Amino acid sequence: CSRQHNKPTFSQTILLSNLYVNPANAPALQDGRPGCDMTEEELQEHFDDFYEDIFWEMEEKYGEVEEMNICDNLGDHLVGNVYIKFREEDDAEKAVEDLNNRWFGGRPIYAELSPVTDFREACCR
Amino acid sequence: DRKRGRSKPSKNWDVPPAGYENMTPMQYKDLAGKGKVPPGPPGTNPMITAYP
Repeated sequence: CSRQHNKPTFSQTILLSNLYVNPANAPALQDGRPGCDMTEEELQEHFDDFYEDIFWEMEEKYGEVEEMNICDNLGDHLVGNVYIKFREEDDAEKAVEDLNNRWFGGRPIYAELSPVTDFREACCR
Repeated sequence: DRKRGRSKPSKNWDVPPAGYENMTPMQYKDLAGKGKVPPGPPGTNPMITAYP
């Protein structure tokens, strides 16, 4: 993407970059077999578990969540991105500061404030 | 029901990568930015800042 992606100073919404790793996107094995042999039901359960894991951690540690979205877009700058809109800006700020010092599933978390407020109107600017 | 809470305990939160247990996430990200630690899964690019 060639857009500016300006970072806000204050926002209710945070972005956790590339956090969700969809098993269905795993690369093919060297012998040519698919990298993922999970059924549709197993993939849905994997996603549901991830969603719940993130959602309740946000609610328990940082504050009330108004909305949460996980990208299933294959573009490198969007894939697995998690957008969380808190009710309070202070909670979003607190979450970004703390999450940048935490691990998730053996990887560091990359958190920042996002300018997105209406997910139905969201696009690169 | 917001008061329901988790249906199962998390296996992911605060789990560091194997072999990097003594490093902080910030230290690890600094090394990742310099290409000194293994890359993450496909799509993971710490240098990209993105919005939809």
